[in-house]
Amino acid sequence: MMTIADVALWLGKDDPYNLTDSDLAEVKEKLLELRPHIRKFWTTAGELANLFQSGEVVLAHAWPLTYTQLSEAEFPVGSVSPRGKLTGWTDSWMISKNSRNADAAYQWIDYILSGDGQKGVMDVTGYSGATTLGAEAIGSDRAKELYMDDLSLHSQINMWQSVKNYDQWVELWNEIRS
Amino acid sequence: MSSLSSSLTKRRSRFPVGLYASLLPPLVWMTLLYFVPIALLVSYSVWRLEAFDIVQEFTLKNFQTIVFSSAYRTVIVRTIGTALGVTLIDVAIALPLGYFITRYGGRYRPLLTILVILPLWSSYLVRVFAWKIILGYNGVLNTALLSLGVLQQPSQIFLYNQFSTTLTFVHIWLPFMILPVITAFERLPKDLIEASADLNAPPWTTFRRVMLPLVTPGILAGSINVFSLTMGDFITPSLVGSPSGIMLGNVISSQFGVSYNWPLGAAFSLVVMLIVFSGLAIVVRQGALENL
Repeated sequence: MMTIADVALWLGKDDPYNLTDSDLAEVKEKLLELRPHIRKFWTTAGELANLFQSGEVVLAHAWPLTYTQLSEAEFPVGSVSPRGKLTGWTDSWMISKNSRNADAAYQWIDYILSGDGQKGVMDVTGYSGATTLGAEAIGSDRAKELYMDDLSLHSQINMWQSVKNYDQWVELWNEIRS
Repeated sequence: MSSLSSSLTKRRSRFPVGLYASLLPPLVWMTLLYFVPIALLVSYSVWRLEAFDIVQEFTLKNFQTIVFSSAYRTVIVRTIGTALGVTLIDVAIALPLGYFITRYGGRYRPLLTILVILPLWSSYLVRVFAWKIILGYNGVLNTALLSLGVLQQPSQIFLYNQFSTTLTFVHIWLPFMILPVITAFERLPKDLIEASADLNAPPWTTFRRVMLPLVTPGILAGSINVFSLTMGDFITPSLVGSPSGIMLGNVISSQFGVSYNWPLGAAFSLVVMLIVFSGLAIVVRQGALENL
């Protein structure tokens, strides 16, 4: 679904999460144009890493996680992102209203937002963290690598929003896949 | 003695406790795990999704979406086509194999039958992954063809297309076809084939007019297995299938997953059930269930 938003940005749409029927038609046309070059739609990060390692794909539209995994496995891989046309999302922790241990959940969330918690997530995934505490915890060099030295950069990212005509997005995606 | 038996028959005629007691567990089982879920499925399929909420009002919108979307129609046609193709190929493989095992297997017959079932003892996923390893870009097949000099560089044509999907389905469902076919051949009296030969029938005529009609129930029973297993599968097409070759199972799993449209997913599930039950109805009329 993020692919649809990315293509919309590429086509110069201002708000990639608020697309009209004609916008979606343009996105569809572009995606159909790209489809012959597609070997596989990956579903898990592990699968994508495997696709690279077995020589099936040479280029992928993906998250930093795969880049991190492949670099750690010493697989020759690079990563680029489109200037000024970024999409992104933030992982969230939510507490159920029926929670019996809300206090424990709050403690966990505090930990995840702390320097140690953020550093742990960033070390494993290669994603950017969400707090300045995290940026301090990983040190300024690593922070620069993860675009965290200047958190105002994050305001340029088109963060995922819930899409009103989501069923149309789903249908478009199924058309691309069928 | 006579008084005892008369009291027994009297009790049985009054209320057959044993009969009802033994019917109750399967009835509860079927109700809880089969009829209730189907009722839930049917009710979800006539509800609709609005702004990420399931609205519990009667509507046929989901079925309209399925019928009027060309993409979904393509998926339905592709799924039925694949399932029929896989079934036919499995019949073509199972017939000679079943005949050979029952006719010439001799004392190795139990062993050969076990070899047919053996793949079922390994995980389904492992068998699908094996095909990825065989057909992949740096896979077993490409490596073999390279070393034989048939190919100059690895080819991508073996994996991630309709061919690899069909091949994998044919392989993983084959035991479900061979077993009923073997049973059917075992029931086939040898004298009939000899009699046919004595009457000067050529082998092809014997096969067509004597053997085929007698093993048809076995073939049909196996076909139900293979057809319905293929109709509902989503793992094989997502692991080895074409990027533009999703099947009904993939659409259903995405509706219940990332798309969060349970009503549409339920409607799709009913479409699959409808297709499978239509196939079943056709086959039952040919008397296939006796061999299941």
